[in-house]
Order: sequence, then C-alpha cells, then structure tokens
Amino acid sequence: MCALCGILIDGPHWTETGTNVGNNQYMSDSRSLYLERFYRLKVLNYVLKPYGAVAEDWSGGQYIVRNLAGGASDVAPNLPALWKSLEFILNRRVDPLSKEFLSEIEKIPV
Amino acid sequence: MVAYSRLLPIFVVTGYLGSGKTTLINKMLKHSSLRDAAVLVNEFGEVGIDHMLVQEMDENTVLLQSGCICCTIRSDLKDSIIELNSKRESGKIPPYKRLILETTGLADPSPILFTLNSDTVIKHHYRLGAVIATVDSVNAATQMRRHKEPLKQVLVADRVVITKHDLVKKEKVVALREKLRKLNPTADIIEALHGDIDINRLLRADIYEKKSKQRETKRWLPVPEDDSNDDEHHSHDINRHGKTISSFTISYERSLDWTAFGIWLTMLLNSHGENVLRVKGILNVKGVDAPVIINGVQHVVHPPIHLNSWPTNDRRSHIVFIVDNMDRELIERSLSAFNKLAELG
Repeated sequence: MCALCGILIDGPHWTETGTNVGNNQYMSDSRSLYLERFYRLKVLNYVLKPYGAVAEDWSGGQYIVRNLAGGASDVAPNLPALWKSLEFILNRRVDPLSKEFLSEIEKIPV
Repeated sequence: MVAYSRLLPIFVVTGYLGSGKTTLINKMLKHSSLRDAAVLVNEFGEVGIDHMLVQEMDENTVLLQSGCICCTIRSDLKDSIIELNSKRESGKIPPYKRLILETTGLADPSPILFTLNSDTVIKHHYRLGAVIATVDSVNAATQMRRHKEPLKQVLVADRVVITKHDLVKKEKVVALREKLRKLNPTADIIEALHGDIDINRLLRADIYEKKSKQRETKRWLPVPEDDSNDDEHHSHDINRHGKTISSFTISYERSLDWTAFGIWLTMLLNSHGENVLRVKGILNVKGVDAPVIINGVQHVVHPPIHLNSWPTNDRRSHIVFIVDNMDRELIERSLSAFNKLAELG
C-alpha cells in the first residue's frame, strides 16, 4: 500500500512485466520499465482518441484516464482496470471490434 | 519477481459427473513421482481418495462487480489454498511440490482459474500447471449437447482424458476424439482405462517447464512448417456441438509490437472476455529473439514466457482462438489496426 495515498498496489500486470515473466533480460531495470510505460501511454492515447479520452501516468504505478468532453476522470492500476475506468467515465461500452472504432483508428496516418 | 516456472504448479482436474475424475486422481497419486502432491477436493464422493494430504472445501463464491461468471472469486478455494500453504510453510504438513484440485462435475472451471490468477497470495506461490478434463466415452456426446458445463470443461482444458473407452465400440471413440479435437485443437487428447495413463504426459510436461515447453508448443502450433497461405483447414465450425462456438487460428506475417498487443488483448478481453473461451499463441515480437507464448482463458491471461527457439521454420505469429459467437475477420482487422498504431510510436 502506498503510505501517502493509501492505494493498494498489487504486483505488476502481465502487460508490464516484459515478455518473459520473472527472468526477463529485455526489461531488467526500472528505467526500461518506465520508458516502456511512457511508450504504452503514447500508443494507448491513439486508441483513446476516438473516444475523446486521454490517459496519463501517475507516479509510475497508476494511470489516470480522463474524459476530455465531460471532465470526468478515474484512476486505474493496470490496463484491464483502465478499460473499466474508461467505460465508467464515458458511461458506455468500449469495443475494439466495433467497425466505427476501427475505421477511426485505421484513419490515423502511419 | 520469482520466475514463473519456480512457482508450485496447480493441476485442475475437472470433468462431468461420473466421468472418472476421482479414479484418475487415485491412479495419479499412486505414481511414485506424485507422492509429493497435495489434493483439494470439492466434496468427498463415493470413490474416496486414498492420500495423506486431502482437504475438502465448501463451495462459496463471490461474484465480482463486472457480473461476468468467469470473473467470480471462489472464496472457498482461495481460503483452502491459503490455509494449506500456511500449514506447508509452518511445517505442519510435508512440503508438497504440486497441488491437485478436483472440481465438482458441475463446475465451470473458469472461476477457478480466475481465482488462481487474481489472488495476491496465491499467485505469488502457485501457478497453473494444466487443466485436465475427463470425458466419459459412453455419455460425453449427449452430456455436451444437453449441458454447458462438460462442453466448457473441454474447451478450457490443456489435457482431455477419454475414459471408459472399453465400454463402447472403437468407432465411437474415434468419433469422440475427432469431436474433441475440433472443439479444442490446442488440447492433448489422451485415452485412459481405469485411470491408467502416462503421468509424465499428463502432469509433468506443462508449458512452463523448461524441458517440455518446446514440445508442448509444437503440439498445438496449428500450421505445418511449409503451409504458408491456406489456413482454411485450421478453422473449425463446430456448430453442431456448441451451437455458436468456433475455433480458428490467426496467422500474422509482421512482427508484433508487444505493447500494442497488450493494449489490444486487454481491451478485447474487457469487452468480449466471456466469449473468448480460449486464446493460445506463439508470437514473433518485435525486438525479441525468442518466440513468446501467450495463454489465456476468458478474462484470465497467464504471464507470457519465452521458448528457447522456434519450433519450426515458420516465423509468423499464430494465435489460436476458441470463441463463442465472434467474428474472426473483425478480430484479425482489430489486431492489425492496433499493431499499426505502434508504428506511430
């Protein structure tokens, strides 16, 4: 538990432990994990754009997800929780298989 | 973090009523290499388990906020494992090296897997070894047609054990084996009479063990080495058995960005986890020399691991899906769109 904010901290989610849990030479130090986290936020924000939402890092341990239109925000410890938070602040389901959503992200020029 | 392979494996033995779970467990426990196992049972049935470390649990479940049945915490299971672990740590019971968990015949295994994967204490001491489903040759076809549990047990299994095959004609066993293979192309299907079975094949060769992970992956790797364009025969429409259930393999030519893949899979499972009954894959990840293995059941995804080398000359990513009423083309399109976003990063 964080002594300052009282948030319970579980172990890292599988998306944050690299590709070989427990013995990962590809992400062995906290600096790499931090850089990976910022890269994740960058990709994530392309996904959130069609929903009018944005995600930010909070002290390297949590994500803050905000609804840019309504101003609502929520805190999530990992990606599965982030999707729940996003649905909560948008008050609707988000679906990566929705044709409308896919058309939007496919429009982003590579 | 402790290497995943060093955690104690839990083997979940599931199977419909009367399909031979307890007979199988009794045989397993008589094997000399399994004397160091502890057993948790849902109930003491008519066939008793003859073993020193057997504990019963009461079936209490806590449904999480999401309301999805596969994300149900089995508090009975959680408490039983933690209690057993405390006794082990304090020396009150011998230091067992693996745990065998027998479910009731009517159990959907998904909440059990969710509990093992989500409890902080359990996941720091244990990992899933394999899900073993027993299937009764005599009644399996009817049971799977009439009830969802036996079907679900087969769909999430890593090993399917066909029992009582001496009571039916050989053709019926062949047909059952074929049906099971179509339902779950990633599972190892083994026949066992009165519980007689190759224990190594059943328990010791799990995907997280150094010696066996290469062979285990090759077994469920769906595409033969030289087959580069026709994957039609890897898509199984199994409507006759599961109404809307189908299995297929998505093969991806380009290397995958791990970060984008994690974002994609978590988002997919958030909205469709109930319908993604099984996902197993060997991935060619950008910047990583070794092939990466992923393995999930509904909302539960086990930590990824590396293989030492590619099992064949094929360097494409292959992801096997067993889904209920989902559109393969949309899944493929969505994965591709997310992977392209990484190129912007």
